[in-house]
Amino acid sequence: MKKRTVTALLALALLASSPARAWVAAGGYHGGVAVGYHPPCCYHGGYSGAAVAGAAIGGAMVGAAVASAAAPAPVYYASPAPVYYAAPVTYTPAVGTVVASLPGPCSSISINGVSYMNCSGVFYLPFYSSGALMYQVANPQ
Amino acid sequence: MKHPVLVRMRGMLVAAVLLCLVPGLALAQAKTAAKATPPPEPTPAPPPALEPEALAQLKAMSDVLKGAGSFSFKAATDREQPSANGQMLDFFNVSKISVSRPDKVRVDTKGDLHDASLWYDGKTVTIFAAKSAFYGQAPAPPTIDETVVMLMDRFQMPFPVAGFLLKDPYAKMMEGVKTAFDAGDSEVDGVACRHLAFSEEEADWQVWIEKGGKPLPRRIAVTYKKAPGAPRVVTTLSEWNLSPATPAGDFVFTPPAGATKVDWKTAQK
Repeated sequence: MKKRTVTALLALALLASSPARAWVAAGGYHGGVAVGYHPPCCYHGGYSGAAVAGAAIGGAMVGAAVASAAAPAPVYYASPAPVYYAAPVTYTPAVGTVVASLPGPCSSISINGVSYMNCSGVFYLPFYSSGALMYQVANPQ
Repeated sequence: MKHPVLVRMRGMLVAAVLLCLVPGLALAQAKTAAKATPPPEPTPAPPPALEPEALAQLKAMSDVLKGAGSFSFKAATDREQPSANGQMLDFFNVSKISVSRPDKVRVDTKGDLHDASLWYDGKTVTIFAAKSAFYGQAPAPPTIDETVVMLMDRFQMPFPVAGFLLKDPYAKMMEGVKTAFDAGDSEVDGVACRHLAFSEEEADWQVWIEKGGKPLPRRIAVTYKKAPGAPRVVTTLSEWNLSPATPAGDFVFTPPAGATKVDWKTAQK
């Protein structure tokens, strides 16, 4: 009797663990912890406006922050991790830097059929990633 | 059966007493005392890993959603994300979600991380950030189930309430569940609920289901226990409408004047 119960529980456990992938775990965290956790963005130093703006002054620091923040994240992220900063920003970000919001004022411009946002002479290529609109600093030719 | 440690402890207690009284005989006496304990009573069987009552309540919730041809609700999400120093930050989003089975979904989200709308009309899925002039678009599979999976897998979209949109929420949500139990009565925004707890390999999750004739999900909380810092995503669901008057046009995206299509990045695997 007891042995049968144990066997039944064991069977139940095996049955429960048999699906290759659990749905709820997969659903909530950017397509899933099951395929790799990746934060959508990086917060270098701090998220408060002053701290972030401070970190953002000087391209080298930004580059370093992006590199270090991107390093521990698994490779599943569809693009380089974006940098959040407080507007207005007075530095020129490096080409390739991804941001979640633009340092206004900006205007849209089409160059060779590709849409960019021109923010004081810095061109940002818009794209969607992980459910959000992002911009990557570009050098349109 | 009594726990062997308890049996041994009782033996040791007797031994200690005897040790005080008759030091020379202590060992032999202790052995006898331990042997002399009455036969242990049977302990009740451990609760099953998957409590039938918890499963039945999740199933009842699932049946209500399955039975609704169309529905809409509001989802307010508190999402934890670790910052660079490891400290958790909370980001808040509020979504209005409309579903028309089998092939239409509309989501309007406002909040910290995402400020965009999503249209799925059975053929195409579109994302459009409010106040921008850019939208992303992709061909979509013919059902909500497949489209939801595509959005989560290929486009890496967070979708904490995805399970509730599916054809059979119970079947999908129970995939990989190892334990399930009823955590008792609770209340969400003044609505009496039953609080259920489930665990999977990668995540622990809880769902609060409305008590009474319409067992709707009122909250879902997921702890991603394998992710750094074990972040939690808590979504509270409200304003349920199981017969919404959503015009068909609400599921079709019409680009605003001057809007252009941009790249919608997919996961690199």
